[in-house]
Amino acid sequence: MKLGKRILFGSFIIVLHFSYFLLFVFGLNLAALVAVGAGGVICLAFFYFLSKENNKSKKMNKQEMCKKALQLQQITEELLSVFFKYFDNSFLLIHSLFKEKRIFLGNETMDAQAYLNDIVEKNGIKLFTKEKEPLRALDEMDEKAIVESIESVSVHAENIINMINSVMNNLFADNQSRLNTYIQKDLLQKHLVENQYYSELVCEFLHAIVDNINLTSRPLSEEIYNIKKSVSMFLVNLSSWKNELTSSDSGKDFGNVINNYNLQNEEFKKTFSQIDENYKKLEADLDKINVTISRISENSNQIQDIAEKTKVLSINASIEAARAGVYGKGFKIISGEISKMSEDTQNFVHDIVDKIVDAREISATTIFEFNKGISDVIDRINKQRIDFEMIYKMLQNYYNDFKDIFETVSQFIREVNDNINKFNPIFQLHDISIQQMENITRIINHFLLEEDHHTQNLMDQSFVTPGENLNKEILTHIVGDIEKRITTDLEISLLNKFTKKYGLNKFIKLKDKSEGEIELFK
Amino acid sequence: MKNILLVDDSTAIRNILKTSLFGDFRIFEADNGQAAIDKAVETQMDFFLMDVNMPIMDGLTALKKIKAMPQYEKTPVVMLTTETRDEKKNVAKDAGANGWIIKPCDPAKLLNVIKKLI
Repeated sequence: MKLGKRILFGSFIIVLHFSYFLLFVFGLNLAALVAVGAGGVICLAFFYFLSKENNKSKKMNKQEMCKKALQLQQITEELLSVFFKYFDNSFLLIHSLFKEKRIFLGNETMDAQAYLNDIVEKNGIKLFTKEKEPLRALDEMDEKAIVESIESVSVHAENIINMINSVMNNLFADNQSRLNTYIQKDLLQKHLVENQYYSELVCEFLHAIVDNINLTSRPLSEEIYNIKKSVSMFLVNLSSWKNELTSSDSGKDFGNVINNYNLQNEEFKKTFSQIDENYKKLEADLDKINVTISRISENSNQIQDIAEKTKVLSINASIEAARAGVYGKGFKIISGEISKMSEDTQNFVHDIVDKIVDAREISATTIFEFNKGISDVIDRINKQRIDFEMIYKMLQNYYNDFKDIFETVSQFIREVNDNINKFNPIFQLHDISIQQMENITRIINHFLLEEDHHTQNLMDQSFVTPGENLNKEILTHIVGDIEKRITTDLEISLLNKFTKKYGLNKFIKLKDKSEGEIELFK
Repeated sequence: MKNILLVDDSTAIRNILKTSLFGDFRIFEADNGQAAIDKAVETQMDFFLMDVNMPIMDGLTALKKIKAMPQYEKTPVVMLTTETRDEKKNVAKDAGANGWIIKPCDPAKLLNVIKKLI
């Protein structure tokens, strides 16, 4: 290119000198004509070569642009793969929390995996087929592991922001190189369209990712809310049942049953001891009767002896009376009466003895029957006591079992409740990630508009002299604008890094630890 | 039972906050500042838990409008946000907010704050 210029310039000088020579030799008019003609030819040739050279430059610019576009495409692809990884990771996190666990839905339980699959199917969520890390069950995932997983999501978010920064830097470098050269409107237009295309694509994907995350987190959070609601209702019911059992009417009834049993038991005991006492008394009385009867019997024997002796005496007396003859007549009558009286006495005594024997037999039978009856009653009372005691023990056991069951169930429900509460920070972090993505989307949208605006400005000018001040001015404007669109510590620290890198006098102060901070105003 | 209005554009966050507060309060929801004002006019609230960055109407504007309503002059409003900078916090404080909580927060602590203020 330089050689061509030299040849052209040399030719121009030679023609100029030759024109002066002709002017000198042949006169002014002819020489001027020739000089103008030659000058014109040389100028045409000069512009022809310039145009050729310009075409070459155009080709080079296109190549560079293609290279840049390729780089931009690669960065975008990388950016999208990070987004996918983020989405995949958060899905894995939720997935692993439910793995091998069953979900309570109202009155029924169902397999968590089937439930998740159902959500995925119903919401048309696309699952990525690339190789995943092995899932861990909830039991293995302690709080630290959950926090680590969430932190890894934050790292991905940081990567995304770094990617956006690199895309922006790349485009700034492009703008700078464009400012350093002539404006090629057609290339600039192409570049603008490319930028719009890629940025719009990135925004679309970001929106899709945010929607997908919402699709998973919303039904899950709703279900968790329902579970919590069921658990709370169950706890309320449990508590009321417990109160009912211990203090309400049915509980009182239960207590009354036990109290009544105790009272009845006492009554039984009293009755039993009274019966026992009466029986002993009766037995003693019967013994006394027996003794009396025995004595009477003994006495009756003596009477019988006396009667027999009296009879013998009366026979002897009648014999003696017969011997005495007439004088013994009165005595015979008396001895006959005595004999009769002794027979009567004997008969009477026999009668008494027979009656006593009967009476003894009757009393023995009565005592036997009475004994039998009493032992029957005692047997029945004892049996009833045993039955009552069994019922009492059973009721007591039931009551204790109920109390134990209530305690166990309450403890279990409380644990479930605690586990549900663990979801809370996860969803909050999830929401922060979504917000970060939305912020990125807004930044890209804004950047897209700015890029369009700058390119239009460049297209309206024929030549712009670049300078450090202009770069700083653009950067300061963009940083100020981004600052309005970010909220989290992570984004602020990344923006601070960016401003430091480009030497801008802008730094946003960050606190040591702000997450979870609660400040109450007076 | 006291009425609480949860104002957040994220359904997931509203659900999870409901989960934490369930049983202790009667919970109402709104997904932006304007919807919150409409709900507050419709039903007398005892407490507001409000996000800052929301579509249609942001939390700070809604806070100012709610505090300007005579019936809510003394009703506690706590902002729950990812915003860590002091500028917006000071705006909220000047507008009459009672507290500023940065997400993610401990649900138990949040419950304590609400019980303390309500």
